[in-house]
Amino acid sequence: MTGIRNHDKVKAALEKVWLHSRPEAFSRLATLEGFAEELRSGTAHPEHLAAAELAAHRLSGSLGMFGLDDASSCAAEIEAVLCHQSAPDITVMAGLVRRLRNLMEGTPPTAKIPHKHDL
Amino acid sequence: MKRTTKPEAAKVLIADDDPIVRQAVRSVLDTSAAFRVAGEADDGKMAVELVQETGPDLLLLDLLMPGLPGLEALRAITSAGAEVRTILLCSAITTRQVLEALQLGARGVVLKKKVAELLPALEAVMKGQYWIESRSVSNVVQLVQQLAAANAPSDELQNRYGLTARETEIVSFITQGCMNRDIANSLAITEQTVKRHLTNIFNKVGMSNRLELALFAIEHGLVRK
Repeated sequence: MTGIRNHDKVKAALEKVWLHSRPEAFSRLATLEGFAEELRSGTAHPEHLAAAELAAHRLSGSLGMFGLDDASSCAAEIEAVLCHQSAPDITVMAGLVRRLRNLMEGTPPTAKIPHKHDL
Repeated sequence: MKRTTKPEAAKVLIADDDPIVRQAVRSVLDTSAAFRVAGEADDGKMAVELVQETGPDLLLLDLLMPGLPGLEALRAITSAGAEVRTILLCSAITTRQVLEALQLGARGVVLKKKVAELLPALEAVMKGQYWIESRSVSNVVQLVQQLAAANAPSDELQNRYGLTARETEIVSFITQGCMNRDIANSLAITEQTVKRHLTNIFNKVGMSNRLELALFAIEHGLVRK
């Protein structure tokens, strides 16, 4: 009984933190969207890449704490793309960022992320 | 009148570069009277310093942090002889990192997406147990063997590195911490032969010492159950 009560307290506490942290989380998403746009327009700046990596890393770490497991995994995918590819694929990046927004907003993704062989 | 004194809350240091994560952890800890936050660090170096300054009972340590990564911070804390009990709080972790963390003195691992398990994990560690894979474990040797068994070998993996059956056997002994003499006795061969096998194994898998080989074998499933 105590365990159940405490579980509810933890859940409520985390919900409160998520409500408070949501603007910051969406600000991180905006950083990723901005960098994806820079990639598209060919104006990507190395400093912005570092900021995007940090945003993706932090989102992948924090979103799972609030039950957004799929969003956390998506952010981890973005982090991997940014960290391990010298030239991140523009279309893949745009698709992942769009998917992340959908997951964070709680709406199902509307578009399939294209694979390289689809392009 | 008999007075009952409440046990003192255990002091917890939170080390994570993300303020949202720190806030979430703090809020979880605030739901229990058994724990109180002793401080927060936003990088590994600061975590090492705050452990020395505040003497926490428990350290929640992120794996990937700027400055000094979590495992390096843990190495520094252990080297300094701090008595803090450390739990890694991370987004993802490999078996190899778990084993390395245990070798460095970590008492548990909690994934961030399972932060609801934080309180039971802290309670288990305060009782002297370990917390790995969402459960408490009292015997760390058994735990390491379980982790190794979970990465049981497949013929395909062994063949990828071109190990012979005998070499695979020797790798298993290495992961159990056996010395050359023990291996020689168990297999009824000379120590010289064991050394020759080890040289071949090191060359095949690209490792240069026994610890590296043991960790590599466990992570890549080269060891026998």
